[in-house]
Amino acid sequence: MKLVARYTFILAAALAIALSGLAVYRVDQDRAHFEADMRADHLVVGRILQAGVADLWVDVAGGKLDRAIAARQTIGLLHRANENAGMVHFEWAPDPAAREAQGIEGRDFVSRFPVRAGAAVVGTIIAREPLVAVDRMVHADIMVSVIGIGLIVVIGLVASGVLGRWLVGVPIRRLIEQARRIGRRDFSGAPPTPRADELGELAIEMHAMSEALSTALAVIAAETDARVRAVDQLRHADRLSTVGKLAAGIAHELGTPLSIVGGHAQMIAAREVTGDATLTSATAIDREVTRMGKIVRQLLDFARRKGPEGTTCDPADVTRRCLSLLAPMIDLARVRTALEVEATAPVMIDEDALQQVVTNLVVNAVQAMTTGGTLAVTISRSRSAPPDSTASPTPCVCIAIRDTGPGIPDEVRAHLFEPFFTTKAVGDGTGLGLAVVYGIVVDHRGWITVDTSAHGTTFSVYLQEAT
Amino acid sequence: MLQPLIALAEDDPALRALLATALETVGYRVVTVATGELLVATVRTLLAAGDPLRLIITDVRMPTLGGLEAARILRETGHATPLLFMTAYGDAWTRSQAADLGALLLDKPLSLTVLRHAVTLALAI
Ligand SMILES: Nc1ncnc2c1ncn2[C@@H]1O[C@H](COP(=O)(O)OP(=O)(O)O)[C@@H](O)[C@H]1O
Ligand SMILES: [Mg+2]
Repeated sequence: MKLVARYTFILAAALAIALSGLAVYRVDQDRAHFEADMRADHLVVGRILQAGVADLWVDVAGGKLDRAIAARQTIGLLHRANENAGMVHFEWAPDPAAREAQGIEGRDFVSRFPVRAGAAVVGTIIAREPLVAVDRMVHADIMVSVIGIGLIVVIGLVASGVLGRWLVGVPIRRLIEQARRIGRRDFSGAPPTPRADELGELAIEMHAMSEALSTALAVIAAETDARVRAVDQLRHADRLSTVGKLAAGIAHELGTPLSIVGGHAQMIAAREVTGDATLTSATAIDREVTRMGKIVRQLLDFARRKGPEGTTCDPADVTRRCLSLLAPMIDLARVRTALEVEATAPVMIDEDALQQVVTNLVVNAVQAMTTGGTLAVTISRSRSAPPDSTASPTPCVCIAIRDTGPGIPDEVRAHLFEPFFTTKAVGDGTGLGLAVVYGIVVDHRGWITVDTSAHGTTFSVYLQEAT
Repeated sequence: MLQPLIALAEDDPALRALLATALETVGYRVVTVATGELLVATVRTLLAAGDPLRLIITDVRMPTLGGLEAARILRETGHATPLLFMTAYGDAWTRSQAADLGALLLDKPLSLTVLRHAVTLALAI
């Protein structure tokens, strides 16, 4: 409103000055007119009287009339003229004035008309009209002007105030409110009513800006939301996939042997198998029970993978023992073994757990070399950190198990550590080996790296040295 | 009259043998295969030879080509033989896939009695 008030005030002042100037000019004009009118009126009546009085005095000059009577008749004539002449007052001055003259004398407008008889001036008719009327008129004029100006200024002030409020104040207030709303990230403003002025344009621009901002923010919010949801989903999917896969794997692994055991038992019970066939069924049942026992044991390994706290063991010892335990199987697969202990140190893991890790990796390596090959196990010390981590390197012992098998294709590699993921035939693999290895190693704050090519694969297990 | 012919696909040899025996005992002829690929090939050969194959029983989860995929290949190449699936892990997705193929789905562990009933039912349809 400050802006509108200032505008209105300036406008009113300008209006008042202009109107006052106009009023002064008009008063001057009116006065001039009035004087001109008086002058003309005096002249008209004065001339007539002049002629009439001159007639009287011609007779005096001719001696037909007495001077005193002429004077009395002149005064009477003027008297009668006075009765019809309004504000003008005529009088007779016997002293002879030379010239006709008109002008203001004191507070009157005075015209003098000399009356001649023959060559001599016999007297002067003086027409006297008080200027009071002019003054009164000018006064009235000024009053009218002042009141008019006052009225116009007041009306102007009110009108411009109201109009300003309506045309400028309200829209600006609305724009300010809208700007504040946008500042508060509230984009609820309704579209502006169209107006054909700059403020209207501004309002439309501002509304467009607000809408654009709102869409932009909505897009950002939606993206953030989507990202959060995606991450959530991933996390959930991850959890589901581990538990779900484990459940599916257990179901699948046990479903088949249970079907076999149940089927044979049913057939025996229904006497569908008899004699020697019963023995075959019993053998089949025994085999399946052994298989289920193995799965259950591995599941237990998987679940109970953390040994007692604080125990340590020497990786070289454990590896040596594993290799000697597995020697028959390794030999059968026509695989040569080479163990190299570059350096060793106690690591923070219990013997049973480490033995399981090494056994599973060695079995996999041997199974990968279907036509024989070389199994090289190397034990070394280094300062290392997990790949893709920002952790600072710590003293570690690394057990690297290298085979000369066909390597691991990418699609298998992606699922390597998933429970029950196997590419091996039924009975050869359960798909739990690497899942168990991974669980144990990670539980002991170690990590595993896999290097694979068409010429072989190396699984390296890193474990922290005991301090 | 010729006994109804059934094709059986199961990757576990022990279960495959048991199921074949169990079905043969009750009077069916059974052709067994160990993989999905072999199932597809066998079914095609049988039908081409004009053998009246009455039913396909297949495990869902088999290495490389599963039972669902094998069945879909057969359906797409115009074989309308009734299907019976066996699975140890019949989640909602597997069930809906089986239903889409108009097939029965049996859960493992299997009961031979249930299997025989299901076979009778499938052959009756
Ligand atoms: N040294 C290796 N060379 C090639 N493939 C391997 C090797 N170790 C593991 N794999 C692959 O990883 C899969 C999962 O291994 P694992 O978890 O031990 O289960 P399983 O040995 O019972 O199959 C194996 O089936 C095999 O395909
Ligand atoms: Mg293994």
